[in-house]
Amino acid sequence: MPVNVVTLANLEVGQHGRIFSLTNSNPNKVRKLLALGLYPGLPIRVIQKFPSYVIQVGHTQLAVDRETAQSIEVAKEPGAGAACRRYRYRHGLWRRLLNHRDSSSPG
Amino acid sequence: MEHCHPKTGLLLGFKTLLGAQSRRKTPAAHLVNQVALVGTPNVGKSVIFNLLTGARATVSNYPGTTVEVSRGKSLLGNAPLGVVDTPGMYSLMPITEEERVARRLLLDEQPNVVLHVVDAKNLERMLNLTLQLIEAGLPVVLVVNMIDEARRLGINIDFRKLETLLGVPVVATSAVYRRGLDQLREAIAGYCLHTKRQAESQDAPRHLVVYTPEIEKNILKIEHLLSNNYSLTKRAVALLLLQGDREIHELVAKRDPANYNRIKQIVAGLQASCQEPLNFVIGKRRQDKASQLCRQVVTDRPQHHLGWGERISRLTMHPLTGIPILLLVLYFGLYRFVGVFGAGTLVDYLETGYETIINPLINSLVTSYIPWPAVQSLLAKDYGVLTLALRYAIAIVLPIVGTFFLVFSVIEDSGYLPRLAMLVDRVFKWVGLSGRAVIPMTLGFGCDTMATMVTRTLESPRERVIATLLLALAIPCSAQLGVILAILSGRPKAMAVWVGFILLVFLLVGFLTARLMPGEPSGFYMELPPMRWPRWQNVLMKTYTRMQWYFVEVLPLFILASVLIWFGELTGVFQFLTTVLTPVVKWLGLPAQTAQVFLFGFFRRDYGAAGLFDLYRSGGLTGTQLVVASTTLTLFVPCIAQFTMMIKERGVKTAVAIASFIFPFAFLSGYLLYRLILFLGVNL
Repeated sequence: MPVNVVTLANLEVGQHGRIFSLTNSNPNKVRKLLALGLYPGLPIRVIQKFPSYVIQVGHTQLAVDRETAQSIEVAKEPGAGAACRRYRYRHGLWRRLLNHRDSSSPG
Repeated sequence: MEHCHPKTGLLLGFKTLLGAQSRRKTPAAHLVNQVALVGTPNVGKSVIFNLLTGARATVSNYPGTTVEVSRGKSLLGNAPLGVVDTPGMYSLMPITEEERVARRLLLDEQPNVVLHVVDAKNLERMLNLTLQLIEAGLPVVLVVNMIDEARRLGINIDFRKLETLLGVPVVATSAVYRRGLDQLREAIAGYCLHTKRQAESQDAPRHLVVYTPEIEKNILKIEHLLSNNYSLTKRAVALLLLQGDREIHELVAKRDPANYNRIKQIVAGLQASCQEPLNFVIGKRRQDKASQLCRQVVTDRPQHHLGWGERISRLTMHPLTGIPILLLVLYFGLYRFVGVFGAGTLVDYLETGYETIINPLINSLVTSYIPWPAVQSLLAKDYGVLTLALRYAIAIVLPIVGTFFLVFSVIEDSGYLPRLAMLVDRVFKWVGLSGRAVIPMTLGFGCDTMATMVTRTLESPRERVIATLLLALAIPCSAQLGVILAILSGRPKAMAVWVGFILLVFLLVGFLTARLMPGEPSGFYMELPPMRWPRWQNVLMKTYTRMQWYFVEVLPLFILASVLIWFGELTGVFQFLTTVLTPVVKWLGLPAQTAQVFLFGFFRRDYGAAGLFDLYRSGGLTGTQLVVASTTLTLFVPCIAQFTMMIKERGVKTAVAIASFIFPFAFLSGYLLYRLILFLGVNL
């Protein structure tokens, strides 16, 4: 397995990559994922991880559970995760809630 | 009323219940042209079906609401045209029951035209099935729907080029805005008038997808061993055999018994030489082709800002905001609108009207025109068909069920349900279900009978049984719910005890069943369609068709129950049963009259609830008694209709097993709750 291949469950929110392979002991589950269109080579992005995984494949969003996320292997495209975390830190909900001075009108 | 059109494929394909069967047509009986709609769930098949036929299949923003096949009629020029809407299918190789139904239809009925409806936004994903259908030699028209949404996302598709590349007609539509329908009809006409089915003329070897040389070699080998009597091309049959399709294996074993062993060897041999499952290799190859086609015809201008729909979608899915949103939806949708407005205001209004105007009128008419007391009490008086059955149906059940279905349709159309499924998946896993079960479970709050039918959208038989059990046990239907909310609304503590106890039973029984029942838990994966504004015409139409189904199904049972009660009273059987039940009821600390309520509850859940409501109105119950009675009644046996549906969906054995667990369990729980309240000395 190439170095930058991880399971979807190990990706951070905001990270993206391309589907590398589908691994599950139950062939029916692999079949269903294929049927849903999760084919190797398609670009994939993690939108949310809790309570379930929400992923974006092309223009479709899918919700999957942890077990399913573990059976999707993704070739990671580096960099996006860190940039996203930085963005969320700067512009995130908490920041805005705690620091409303930045955005509020002068006075 | 509209139910003289049994073919309109009412909500969720209720036709079978309405007696309009799924009549199997043999290919020989093909006098009229037939069109079948296929495609993945939630791409707009039902909308197109409705537009073609003028009928009303229920359309929703939730994958998998068409459980059965809906049939309708249309005209092509002057010739009649049969239209069939199938449940969603992702691939020609079925996994769920719905997909099996869809494929069987394609194989057995051999429609003249197969409309493959796809979502323009997801062409790359969906062309895979198109390729399979073409491979199978079916007369495909590719209907690229929702082009309006795709354009808004900056996606452009070169339809003419796609048509040339695929070699089948391609039509662009935006069905909800009624665009592209004329072209669609032209494409259908083209097939019906000119083209012969490719499967009939086996000499059309234009392979869109070419597999690895090794696989191609084996496909040829298998093709030579197959006879001609499949309604798919030999190539498609060979591919399905290689992919390990059980149904096709059985079919081939039956039709080509002499060669089947040889075929099995070829499949096994090829699989042994491959590192990955053949199904995966074949699927990937096909998807590569689909992606390649897409690169040739789709231009995509990516958009960077999030639309409002996407923003709301994220809010509903994030646990921090999603759970408060869920509670708001429950509070306003279920409690305020269904409980307070539907079961309170509307019921009060209608009940008063019924009791002060209609019932006295019926009673006086019946007593003055019908001399026989037995017939008098059949029609009027306390348990008469006209005074009791119709009053319950119209004054109590109608407003509650109506308001529930209205709320449900709005929620369903907005696309909220799949997000809810995603949010509750973890909790549901705990009770042996998956997030997917959220639709039957929520629908159960409307009508458990309907919900039991919808459990067939769940993936494993195990999950279906657990869902059926929990629906029968712990999900009160809207009639029950409305009445119980109305009874307990003045007593917040009593309400809390009832909610808490039912929730506890739900979790506990689910948890234990999940541990005790053999089989693997089902996985969860679900498409999240974009959030959309519900269209009010659609919402109203859906509410209407659901209520119509409910009434067609319910009213005869109400009347039957009324007649049974009348008969029971007349012969003394009821008095006897009531006396048998009275000690049990006393054991729960309830007054003797509730025995009758429970007995009625056996005939219909809501009937019992409505009886409880009458008893409450007359002021005969204390807070504790109300809670114990409501709880026992909620858990109590499913009504006759639900029980019938359980038998139909799960088989007699499972249904009887479930019922014989629930019956003692409900009373035992009621007893425990009563003792617990006494022990704690709480005043409710």
